[in-house]
Amino acid sequence: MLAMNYRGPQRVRIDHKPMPEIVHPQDAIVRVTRSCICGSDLHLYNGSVPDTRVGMTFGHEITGVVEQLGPEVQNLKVGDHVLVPFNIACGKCVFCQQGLFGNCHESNPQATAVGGIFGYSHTAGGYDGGQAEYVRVPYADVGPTVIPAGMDPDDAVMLTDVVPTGYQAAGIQPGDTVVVFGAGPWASWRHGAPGSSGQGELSSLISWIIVSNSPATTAPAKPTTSKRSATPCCS
Amino acid sequence: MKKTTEGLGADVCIDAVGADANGSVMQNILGRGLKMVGGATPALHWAINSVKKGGIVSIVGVYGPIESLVPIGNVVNKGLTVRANQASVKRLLPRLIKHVQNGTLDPKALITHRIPLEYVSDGYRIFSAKLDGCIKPVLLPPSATS
Ligand SMILES: [Zn+2]
Ligand SMILES: [Zn+2]
Repeated sequence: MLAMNYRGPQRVRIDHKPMPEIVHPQDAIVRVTRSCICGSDLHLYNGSVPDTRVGMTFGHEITGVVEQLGPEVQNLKVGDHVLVPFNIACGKCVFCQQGLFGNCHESNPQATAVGGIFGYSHTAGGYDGGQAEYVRVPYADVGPTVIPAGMDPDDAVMLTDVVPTGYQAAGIQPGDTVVVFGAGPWASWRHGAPGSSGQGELSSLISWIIVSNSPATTAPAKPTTSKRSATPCCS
Repeated sequence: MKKTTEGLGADVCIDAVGADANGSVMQNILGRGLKMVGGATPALHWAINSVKKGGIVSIVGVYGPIESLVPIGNVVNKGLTVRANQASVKRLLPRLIKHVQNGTLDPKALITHRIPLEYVSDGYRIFSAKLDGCIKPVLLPPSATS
């Protein structure tokens, strides 16, 4: 299969790699339909994440179709189109039980802080990521979520990291002045951002100040016509 | 910022940059000659120092395990609440899916570039150099049919 291959700082290339296989009864093999490059992947790209090994495939913002399932997977079936959260979580450990899926104690037993993350170096478990045609998804009953009927996969893939990461950060009340240092993608949806209460749109009641050198700050609030292709698009 | 907050500071400051913040560029944008302590992380510094007393500092930027010279004294003396974690996506999904379905959120509007997987190296180069207004690139494998 085709997969992104990390060769060293600022060197990535497309390569042929062996197809991933079911190695644990709770695994799924997913055929990738979307895979974002995340701002945090640039930390890997630039060689600033410890233990980023040559040969690794990055990519933790993934949607795809279930191709193959381990014998213990209950909640998915072959053919399901799923969005795959960036956290790899067992669902059973003491942290997962509290909803702290980003701090799973099983998916990255070498570490004391972070849990497993797809394609995010061996400090996050050494899992290959989804910037490839296929990806192995461990604990397939826990993370992957079937994309609801009618939802655009482009929206679904943004729910694997960008949107939840911005959302969890908030803790914002109406009337607050909020300063964001660094307007990556998630900060630019501030105009539509709901409050942490999950009860609808608070952003009109909030003063936002964005401090950034990113192009996001100059993008329109709803950049509906901003889709561009760097290279001819395949879909 | 001070004008907006009547000199008190912001209620919430979010560090969305993390360890690789480029202090000098951001200082230019702010138009001030702020002097950063070597080894510190500018965005976190600014978040701690510009939030109001009793306010919230929320850290979502990416950090490795060791970051030095965080002004922790100001965190204590201002009585700040520090929130930090990687998002636990699965826990938040039900709410966020609803927000997308009812139109409160339009996440796909953030996608600026659609790049065939075969051109992944171009994707990294363009995104890394912030060329062509690249905010959010999505890779499409040739085997993707939907
Ligand atoms: Zn990400
Ligand atoms: Zn767990």
